[in-house]
Amino acid sequence: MKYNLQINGETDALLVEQKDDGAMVITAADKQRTLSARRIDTHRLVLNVDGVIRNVFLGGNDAAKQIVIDGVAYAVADADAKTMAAATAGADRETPREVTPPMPAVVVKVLVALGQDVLKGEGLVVVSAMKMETTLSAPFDGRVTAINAAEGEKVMPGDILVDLQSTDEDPAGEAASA
Amino acid sequence: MFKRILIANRGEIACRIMATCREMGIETVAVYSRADETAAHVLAADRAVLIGAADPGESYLNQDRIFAAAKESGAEAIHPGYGFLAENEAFASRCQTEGITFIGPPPEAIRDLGDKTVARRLMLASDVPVIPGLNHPETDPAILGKEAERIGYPVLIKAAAGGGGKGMRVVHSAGELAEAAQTASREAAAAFGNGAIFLEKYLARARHVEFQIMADRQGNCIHLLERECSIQRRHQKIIEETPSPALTPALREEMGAAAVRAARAAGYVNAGTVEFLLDPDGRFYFLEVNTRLQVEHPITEMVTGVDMVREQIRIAAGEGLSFAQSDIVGRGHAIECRIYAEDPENDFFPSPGPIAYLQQPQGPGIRVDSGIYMGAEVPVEYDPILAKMIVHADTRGAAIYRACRGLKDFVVIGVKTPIAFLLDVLDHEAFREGATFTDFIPLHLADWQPSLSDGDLARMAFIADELTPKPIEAGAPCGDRAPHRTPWQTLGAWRF
Repeated sequence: MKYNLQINGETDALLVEQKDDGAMVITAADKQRTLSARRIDTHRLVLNVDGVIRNVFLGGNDAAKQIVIDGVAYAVADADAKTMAAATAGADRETPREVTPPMPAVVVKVLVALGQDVLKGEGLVVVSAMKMETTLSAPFDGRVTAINAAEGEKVMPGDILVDLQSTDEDPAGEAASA
Repeated sequence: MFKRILIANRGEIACRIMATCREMGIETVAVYSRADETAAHVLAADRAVLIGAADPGESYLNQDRIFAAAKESGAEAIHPGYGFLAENEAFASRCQTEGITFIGPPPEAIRDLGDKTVARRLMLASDVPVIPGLNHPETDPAILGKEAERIGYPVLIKAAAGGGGKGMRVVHSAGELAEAAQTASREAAAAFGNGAIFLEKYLARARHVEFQIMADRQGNCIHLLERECSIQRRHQKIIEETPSPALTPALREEMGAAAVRAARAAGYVNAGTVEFLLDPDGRFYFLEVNTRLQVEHPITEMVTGVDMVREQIRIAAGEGLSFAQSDIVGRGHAIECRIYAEDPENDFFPSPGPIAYLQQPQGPGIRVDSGIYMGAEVPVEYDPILAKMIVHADTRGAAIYRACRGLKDFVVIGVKTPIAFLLDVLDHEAFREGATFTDFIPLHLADWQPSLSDGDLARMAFIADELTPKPIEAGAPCGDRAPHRTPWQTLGAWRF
């Protein structure tokens, strides 16, 4: 079996051979390891890698798992999975292209006006959530084509607070409804 | 002694207070909002009263509903925890009129010390050194600007009515001042119901060293040593330790005496914390007094052996301090790590949601004060602190290793936590050397990304997870699914 697994933009190919006793022989970049696993919980496996015991904890879904090892969380995505794009939406580190709050929030202040030109990184809307204020900024250079939020309004992730038309010099002709 | 105490709070601190109450044979009453119907603090109480909707204004900040709950449940005293109504003078006063004991300082002390500018004036009168700045609240940008010019940039705009990093902004130049003042005032109004701000010189390279004080109604006032809280992110503490690597016995005695003087000047009763800034030359300046039990109180408990909540309850019940200043001796070293529901890879944005899996560390020298359990839901409406991990060991070095062990064993799946970030702080050379000033994080971990050194193992774990069967879920539907798992079900994704 072949897997193409991506962490932080880097995809590695791994070949897996399952033995009769349940052990897995995994080959990656010319290195071969023998791995056996026992399931302790839906979210916990104890692995034995070349004789060393490692506990790993897992969350996420089939195509994109969050794997915690010794306190560090790894977002591991299956590069072959069809739903990869949707699955890694939360896991990837690219700047979102939309002006939307990452969690339920209250609009504190709208910093721009209709028709205003803004630069990438410029503040558009100030929202308040869990008692802290955060500014949502322009993901690219653009012009404000619509303002869909009012001060005091409760907004949810997915709500587009400001529509931004890209004014980037972009051969792909992107006009994003942000 | 009280028969029943109502805890006007939630999360880890409510659970911690209830633990001591149970040990003292005191019945506990929890109050909760609709978002907390199955929260840990409700499950831990003897009685629980629903007080309103999730929004704090409808529940944990709603005095009418809290007093109604106290009357209904027959509570004789209220412990306010930290945050919410803990430093609310009106609440403490109303406890008096309602005939319920407030487990904390007198309302006058809360009033005087709660206003950071009044506190500054009190300190000046008691010969306690203060940081140059305004001694009264001010929102006029022209006046703020004039004071900033006088004391010199950088300056720090602070909320007059509260702390915890809310309503604080560092200002490096005149151009930034007006906007910073506005934002700070708004944030302060949201967090404390009071948008009043003032201004102090910003000491960039200083240590935050605070002293725990405790005073009874008989006029006894002592300190319980210091805590160093310099590891802060945006003015919010994330790692605290005691003793402070910077204090000599002489400095400890001088600062401790100043802390007790400050407490006496305000007529303080019960537990409080006097915060100082210590500059690299060993000069200390009064910062503020926190008129409440603090988040990081457990590290003091570990080195002194004192149960501070127990002392608070005893003092509120009219009893004298259990010990004298000479009884307070620090043993070993303690470190606390705060575990928040925050994503350290996404600017520490709050990360609410259900906790799918939880493992809390245990073993020698580890204490976990937790407000969560596996299956609990972390709501969006409140401060995102999940738990505190406190370690105690013989030496600072041993405590650091113990804290690293504990953090690696602290597993939370379902919400993001800064555990990897905390590990990198503890691992940092500057931390190991004790070079901990309030600029530690911007200086050493500004553009932090986790070091993904176990990527190979993570990939293998992905594969193992797919190839190792999961337990069959209870309540799986019959009909389409065979009662026994068939190869077609266990095969997983096809691969060649």
